[in-house]
Amino acid sequence: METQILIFGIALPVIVGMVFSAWQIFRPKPYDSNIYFGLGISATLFASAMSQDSLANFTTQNRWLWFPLSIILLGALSAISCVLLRCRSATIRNLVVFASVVPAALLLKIPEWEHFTNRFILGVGAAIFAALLTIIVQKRNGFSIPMAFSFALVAPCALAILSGFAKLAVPIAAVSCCLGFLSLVRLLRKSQTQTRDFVGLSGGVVVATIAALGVATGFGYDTKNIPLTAWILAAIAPLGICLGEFAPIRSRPTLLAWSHIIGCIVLAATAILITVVAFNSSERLG
Amino acid sequence: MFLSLTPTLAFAISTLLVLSAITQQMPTTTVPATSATTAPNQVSTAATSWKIDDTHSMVLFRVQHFGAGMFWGRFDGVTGSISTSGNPMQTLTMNVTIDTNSVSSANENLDGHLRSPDFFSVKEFPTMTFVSASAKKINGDMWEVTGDLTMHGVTKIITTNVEMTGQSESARGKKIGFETTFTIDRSQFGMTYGIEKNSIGKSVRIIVALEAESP
Repeated sequence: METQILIFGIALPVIVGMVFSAWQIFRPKPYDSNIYFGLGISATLFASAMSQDSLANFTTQNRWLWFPLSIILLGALSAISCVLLRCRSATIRNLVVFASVVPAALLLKIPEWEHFTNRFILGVGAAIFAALLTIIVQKRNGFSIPMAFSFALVAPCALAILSGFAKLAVPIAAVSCCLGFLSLVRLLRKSQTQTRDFVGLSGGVVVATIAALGVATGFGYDTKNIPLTAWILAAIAPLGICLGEFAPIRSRPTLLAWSHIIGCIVLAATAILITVVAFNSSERLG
Repeated sequence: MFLSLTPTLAFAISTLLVLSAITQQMPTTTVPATSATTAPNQVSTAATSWKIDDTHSMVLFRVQHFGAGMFWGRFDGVTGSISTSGNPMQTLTMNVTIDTNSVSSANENLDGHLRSPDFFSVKEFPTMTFVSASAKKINGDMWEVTGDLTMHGVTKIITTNVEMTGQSESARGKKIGFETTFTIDRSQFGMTYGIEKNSIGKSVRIIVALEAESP
């Protein structure tokens, strides 16, 4: 029953993500995080999504599966870009990885996003969002960033459940769990590892894109008219880490770490609260 | 003069009488098959087109919940056309369209879940259709109808027994009713949510009750 969702929808995909991402923790190399973290997170989402739906007529009958497919392709593309461009300047590498968000958004062929122009605008918006997020992510190597992202992704997950789209909620929940576990691993390994950037370029881009495209998918299929404000807040919830970047806070490491987490929690909780207030409760059939 | 015209006039009169008699003996072919004025034993092949009455037609479905009780839901938006011919009915064709957004379980929150991609994915697949390919009269008012059922983007051939429940003509026009019950395996239509965890059954019993009117 519910145990099967926990095993195949959450636990096994999280292990897949951990195996990829933990490589960076135990075998740090200058560009490792730019490969393994993004790959790990996208693999978690993809594996979990595959456990949720019939693979017959993959992405034609179940078009929401374009979302996990676009994310795994983005994870691979960003990793390949980081490897191929590791000798180039960071600016070129960043631009190439950010630009790869646009084709990921163009792959979404779901209700409300049928028009190319809409998907292109979504892709450009997601790329800018990913760029903003990555500026901070690449500066911070502590456990607080993945922990903050873990809480931020609770918002799109909760909105998906409240809109009645449980199949979308499970993969996002799996990513959230994976990020949570990785932050704990990072916390435990803090003294032994001096990783320059933990989540890294590909990790930051993949998390930002999961939030943006995940919310776009949920919004596209929403028949319960969840307020647009709630969807937007859920999409930008990872930007809550900006709270820690204010001058009085960033000089104090403990406060900085907590501010990253609290900023994301506040945005995520607000999105959920707006939805819950909009309609009192939600029931699911099974 | 008069006498010379007599044979011609007699021939003309007799010709008219014969033609009149022949005309009266000819069968009427323009009377509709379902007309109340048609003699009971008279077989007619004229086709009648019927438009499904959305208000008085519905589709019910029943599925097992957590291996225990039966959960019922319905679709109110049923449209389409039916074509019959003959009296008694000799042929039957059906083209039924169901608005998936009209799904109702008498609980608004559950309806939202039923409309989501977990089940009917109404934004992606706004309609379900049944188009009959053949119909064979079994006995009386029972018909064996075979056709394409398209649901959730998948088309499968199904065969079901359809009963013509009644036919009437009143001041509100001519009406005809049909009812059928059949069971589908929803996983064959790519609707798999809840099957693995056994929260929602795989078999769904569907009851279709149609009322149609002829313009």
